[in-house]
Amino acid sequence: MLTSPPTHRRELRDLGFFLLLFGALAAETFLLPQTASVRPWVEGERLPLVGLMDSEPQEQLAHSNSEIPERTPAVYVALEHAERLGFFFQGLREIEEGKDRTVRVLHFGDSTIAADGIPGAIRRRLQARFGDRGPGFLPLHVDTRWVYRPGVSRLTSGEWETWNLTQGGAPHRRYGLGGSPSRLTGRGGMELVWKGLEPASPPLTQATLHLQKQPGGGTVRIRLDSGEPVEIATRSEQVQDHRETLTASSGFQTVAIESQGNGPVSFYGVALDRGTTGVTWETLGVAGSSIGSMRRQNPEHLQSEIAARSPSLLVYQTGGNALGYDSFKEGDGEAFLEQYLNVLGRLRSGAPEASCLLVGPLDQGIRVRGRVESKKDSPRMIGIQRAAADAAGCAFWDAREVMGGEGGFARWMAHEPTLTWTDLMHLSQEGSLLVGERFADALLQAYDRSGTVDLVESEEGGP
Amino acid sequence: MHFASIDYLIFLPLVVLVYWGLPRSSRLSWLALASLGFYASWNWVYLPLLVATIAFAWMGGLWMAKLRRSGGVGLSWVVLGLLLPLFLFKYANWVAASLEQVLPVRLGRIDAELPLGISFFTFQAIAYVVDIRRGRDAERNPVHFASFLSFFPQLISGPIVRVQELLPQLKAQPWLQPGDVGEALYRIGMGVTKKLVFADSLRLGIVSPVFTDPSQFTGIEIAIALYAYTLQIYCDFSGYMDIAIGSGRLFGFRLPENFDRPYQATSVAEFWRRWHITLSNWVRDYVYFGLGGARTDREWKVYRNLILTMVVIGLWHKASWTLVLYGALHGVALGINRYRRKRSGRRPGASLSSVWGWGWRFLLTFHFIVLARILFRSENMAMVGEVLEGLTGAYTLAPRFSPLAMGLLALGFLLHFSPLRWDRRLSDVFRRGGPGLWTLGLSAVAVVCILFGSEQALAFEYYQF
Repeated sequence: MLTSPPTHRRELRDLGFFLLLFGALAAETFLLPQTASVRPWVEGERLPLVGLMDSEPQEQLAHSNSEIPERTPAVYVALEHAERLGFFFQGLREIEEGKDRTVRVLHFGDSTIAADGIPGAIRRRLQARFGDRGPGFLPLHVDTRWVYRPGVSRLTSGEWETWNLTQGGAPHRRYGLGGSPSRLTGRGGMELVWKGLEPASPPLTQATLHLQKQPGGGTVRIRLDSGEPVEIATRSEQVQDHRETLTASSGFQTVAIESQGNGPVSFYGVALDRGTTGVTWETLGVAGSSIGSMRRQNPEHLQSEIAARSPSLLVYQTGGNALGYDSFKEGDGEAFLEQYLNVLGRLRSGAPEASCLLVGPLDQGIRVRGRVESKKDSPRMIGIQRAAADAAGCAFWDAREVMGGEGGFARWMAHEPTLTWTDLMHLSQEGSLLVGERFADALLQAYDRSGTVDLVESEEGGP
Repeated sequence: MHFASIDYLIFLPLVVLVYWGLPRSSRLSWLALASLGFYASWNWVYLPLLVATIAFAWMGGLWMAKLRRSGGVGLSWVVLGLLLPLFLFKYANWVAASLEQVLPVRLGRIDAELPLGISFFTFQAIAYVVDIRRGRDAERNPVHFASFLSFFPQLISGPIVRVQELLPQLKAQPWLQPGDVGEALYRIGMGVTKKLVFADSLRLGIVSPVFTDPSQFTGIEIAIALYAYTLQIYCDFSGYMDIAIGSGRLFGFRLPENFDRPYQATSVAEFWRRWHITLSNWVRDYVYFGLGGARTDREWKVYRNLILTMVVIGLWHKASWTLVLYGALHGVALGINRYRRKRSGRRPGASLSSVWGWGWRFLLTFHFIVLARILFRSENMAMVGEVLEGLTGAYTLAPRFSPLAMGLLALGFLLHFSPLRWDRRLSDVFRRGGPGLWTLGLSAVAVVCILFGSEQALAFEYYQF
């Protein structure tokens, strides 16, 4: 029998020591709670090695598409306190009764709204039933990473400067309805083209430019298609909001804005309307925004901008970006609730008679030991928002529940096609559309019931 | 049992310690037994197929040796016999579906999963019998042969080891040399990191979502996904190789390298000398040379041989028209490579004279490889079309992938293009280090993998081949 050489024995001894040390470190993670997050095995997982005998072969061979489970449907979730939407429902009812009525909805929110996935789905449903009054308010110069509106294209020239609610810095804290004002310096302009999504839709007939008059402000020329231009001088003694409405009874597609180069011109956006009875569902989302950023708005300015649209319903959908706030995490949430109510008060002051609907944040993921789990604080945030809705007399809708509640993000992420982005925060376009569809289901269900039954008694059931 | 799993982390040391604890005469039997157990842990139903392949190849080898002496011909029958299970499990349904496209026939289907590693151990067995027919000695001891063909570190996804590369080592049972354990642990740690941290994160964070539905992504996101897939497939496969080579080293065996920083190549020919080296060598020796290689009477036949050989490589991966096209595309690229080289008179592998000359060749080669990966990754031609169409979409939007995935993509390429000597230095540190350093290093790897790795223990990509 051959005797092993000393070098071999040394290698083997070192390997043995390594295995002992490594094994001891692994065992230590079960003794010290501080190291629990790096345990090589946790309760509930298949037992290493011996557990291989129990598992199905298919489970072990997860490759390519087999990691994707069955389709996860979006869950129907009813509106809470739908009876608080009386003013909005009344407007819809009058349209159905044949009255010449415009029902505007201003949907404020964060990046989950800015890409128009959720509002777009609701808009299509409501406009299909009650009539299409037009696209509504659109910010002019936008951050195209997040802000997207199907059917709208913008061609710009000249020197544009843009701010947003999240980053702040807008002169005089005037951010406009869209939360994203812009300033054009020198000669230049923009052609905003509404291509329309439905060929049979009636034409746009009215454009209202929301802008700012200011000391030293320049002159801007606006034209609808090839119509006669209207010149607006934005120079004034003091800073003030100004709205200029142009009409084209035969319809238009393009709003051309041209600065004359005699001073800066500041814009908040443009509202596009049709001269027909119907509904607008206006997307007013700003990426990264939260109640903190909404408080950047000059209150009087915000009030006047909202009032100018005379909405029937204010929807406020936020919370995802505020999960890390100290005012939310610390204490019992009273401070956060107070801030939330303060922002709600500012929004509602522009349309005191309008109905109000708060929407909770979507489920968000966090990676724990490689798994995607739901953020723990989301239910608490939703609880505070419910309390805010009660205190302010608003209806409430739990968007997270649509994703199935706890674990929703992971399930939607694994869905084929995927319903989320991989940043563990946002939904894909398809995911957003699903949420928007369920939102529209809940809204229309509540509306239909509002005419026949007492909504306080009946909030259960799906379509 | 995945290589990058806690199961394997327990299985490997157990097998190694028992191996070294047994008398020399029993070690190969133990190794063969452990390898069969390893294979059965995936799906025991296919264990008889592996055993049958081992038995058939062993007997086929003996028969080849006998025929060689008597001058008979029977190689084709043995090769066909070895190829039959591969054809039935991997290609039959595809052939049937393809025939139904062009002929008015309805053919049956085989409803069975692809047995793991079948392409690898079949090619290894074919090489064995062909080599015997060409003059090499047959292995008479069935246990030795079984331990060679089923050696678990390389059983599922290679490297495709030739009999002369491993069997003599198995029979000699070399002792561990100084630095072997350190080197083995370094390779295993490196492989696990490549797989769990880089490959799986890129796959889940960028590649899978984009290839599930390209229409939801912008042009820049699809372009990033292509780069990410290029890196993912390398980290996945070379990660497996690192673990395989490291595992083999714990038994004192040296398995051949399968990768040599392939994306640093400045020509497609060089890429195939750096990527899946053992498969490239296999098809060169048994397909390209078999077709006549470059020693033909007409130049066009060389180009034909190149394209056919690369189509075989494509088909080896998967029975799919996208892979046929992938192989053909690489074959054409190799042909262009050869044509240009012959015109310029440059010898294969000759160093490039200028940075400019290196730069444009590198960029062209790299992007050819990245774009060709569309065919490699797409399920069908419709998806190829979707991805190509998507690539022409918006490039103005910032990509919406997580910062972690984007960071890993950048870091992965940085590491791939870093000087090789950095890797060697780190490896030397491990070789010279002792249990303390190894524990520290491997614990760091374990913590990173547990915190950032994939939850799903995704199988290595090449398991499906």
